[in-house]
Amino acid sequence: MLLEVQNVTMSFGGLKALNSVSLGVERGIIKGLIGPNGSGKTTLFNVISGFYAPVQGEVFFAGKAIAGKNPYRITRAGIARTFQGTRVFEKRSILDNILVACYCHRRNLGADLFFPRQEKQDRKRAEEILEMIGLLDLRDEKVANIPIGIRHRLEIGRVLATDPKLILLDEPSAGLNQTEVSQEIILMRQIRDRGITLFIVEHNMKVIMDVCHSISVLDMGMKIAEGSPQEVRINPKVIESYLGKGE
Amino acid sequence: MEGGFYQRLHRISRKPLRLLILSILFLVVLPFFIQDKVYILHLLSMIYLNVVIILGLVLILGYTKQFSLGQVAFYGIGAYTTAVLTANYHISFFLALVVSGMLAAISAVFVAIPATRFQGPWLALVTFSFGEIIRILMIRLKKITGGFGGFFNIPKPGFGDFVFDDNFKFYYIFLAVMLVILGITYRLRLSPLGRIWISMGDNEDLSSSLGINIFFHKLLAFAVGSFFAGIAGSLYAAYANFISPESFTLRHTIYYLSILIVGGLESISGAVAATVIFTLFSSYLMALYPWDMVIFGLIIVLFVNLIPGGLGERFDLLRNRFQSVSPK
Repeated sequence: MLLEVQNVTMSFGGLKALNSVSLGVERGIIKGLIGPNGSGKTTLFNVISGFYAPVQGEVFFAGKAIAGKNPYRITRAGIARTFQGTRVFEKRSILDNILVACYCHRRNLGADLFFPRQEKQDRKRAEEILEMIGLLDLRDEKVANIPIGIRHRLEIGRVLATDPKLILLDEPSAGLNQTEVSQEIILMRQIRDRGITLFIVEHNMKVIMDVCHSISVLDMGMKIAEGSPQEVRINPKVIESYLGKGE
Repeated sequence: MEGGFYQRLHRISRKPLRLLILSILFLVVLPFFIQDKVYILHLLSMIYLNVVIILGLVLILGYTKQFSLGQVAFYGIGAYTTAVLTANYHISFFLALVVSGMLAAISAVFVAIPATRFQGPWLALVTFSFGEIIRILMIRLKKITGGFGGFFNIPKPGFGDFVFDDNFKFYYIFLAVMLVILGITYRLRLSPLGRIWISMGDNEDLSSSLGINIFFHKLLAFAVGSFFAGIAGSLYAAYANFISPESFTLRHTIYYLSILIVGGLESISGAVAATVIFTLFSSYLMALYPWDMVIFGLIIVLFVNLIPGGLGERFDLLRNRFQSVSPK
């Protein structure tokens, strides 16, 4: 089990966003996390990636406890994440966005002031990643000018640059049209084939059913179901939580 | 070489390196032609001094967006450190210069460690308060600093028999230090460290999720920028021969802040240009006391609202236009 969430509880003031949630993500699969709006999916991602420290519970990544650790440590340990609504460095170029992520594992930044050799390696790596996601031609474009489909690919390139073992994707297909969604599914499978585990929050059921090996379902901060796409699809509790909310 | 003077000039200006070397040579040779015009040498020296300070602010406020309003404190620490070391302990100025910078940087780290947990206005308040604390210490620690009356007779720098005892000779110290600091800042901007700092200022959470140790880098940027301020203070102490707490007040903070904002927070070329403009006009503006403060405040408000990118942004737009026009 690459990632283990154990009895994680997260509250803001009096509101319990996560109530004793436990789940696991096996190495090498694509796992889905679904649930109505407000069920705590992004909150769980924030806990796993270190942006929130849980009030109770623990998170284990490759056997090590990581709950409450600083986000940069968790990224260096091998978990990368994207943000809902795509976060990028707006004023910088596409290449720069990826390049900054390549610095993740560098230890001796001071040396680069005067010895640019490592810089060339990082730059090469950034360009390789750009090529993999098909954005090499646009490398000098400022991010503010590019459409949302390309932004999403940029975010994926960025997380790849940190050399992760696990990627948390928060609504990767939001705002994309049919073609773009299909392309993204192909990309996700390619990433998984490279040995990287994916954990995806999604509202688009086509993506979830198509791509995920197993799914956890949250509602009101609690896990209400777990299983393969086929099992989850016919689970009465799941159907009720979605229908009941008018989703 | 085809064409006349203007064609040749146009070709030279298209090669930035050649232009740079020419500019530096010009600045090196210039004093020999104006040896008697002491005031111009003084003005140029002040420009170089201010550039050093502003470049430190570019790193702290411009790149990592830490709104520290207390940098004048580190300028002051640098000045008094050099004053004490050279006057009381007869240490060579050039050694005192480095020590002053280091001491300023170390103090900066001590301030930054608690201060960086604050954001925005709170950080500004905490750093400003620190600036005031230092100024009060300058007044109170009479035995060390000479108190309100100031510190007199700071010796001039020299080695062997050679002493930098006039504006002409001191000009070269200012020029040399400024060129070194400018070079370091440019190199930083193009290096991974600089890129990381700019990214942090752009989007802190995103940078954190990319494996960047935000706390460490905030401290580092703060330290380097304050090192520059300390060096500047050291230079000023030796040049002015006399320093007092009145040289390190809120007025100076606002003055430097205006220059930074007009230059465009992140832009090095903008910062240099703004420094030149402000320094040249400062004697006229300061004479309008107390209205000079009103003018600086107005300038800040105007630029933040209408031209947030400052001169730097204008330079970038110009540069883009030239690049799209000229053949590749």
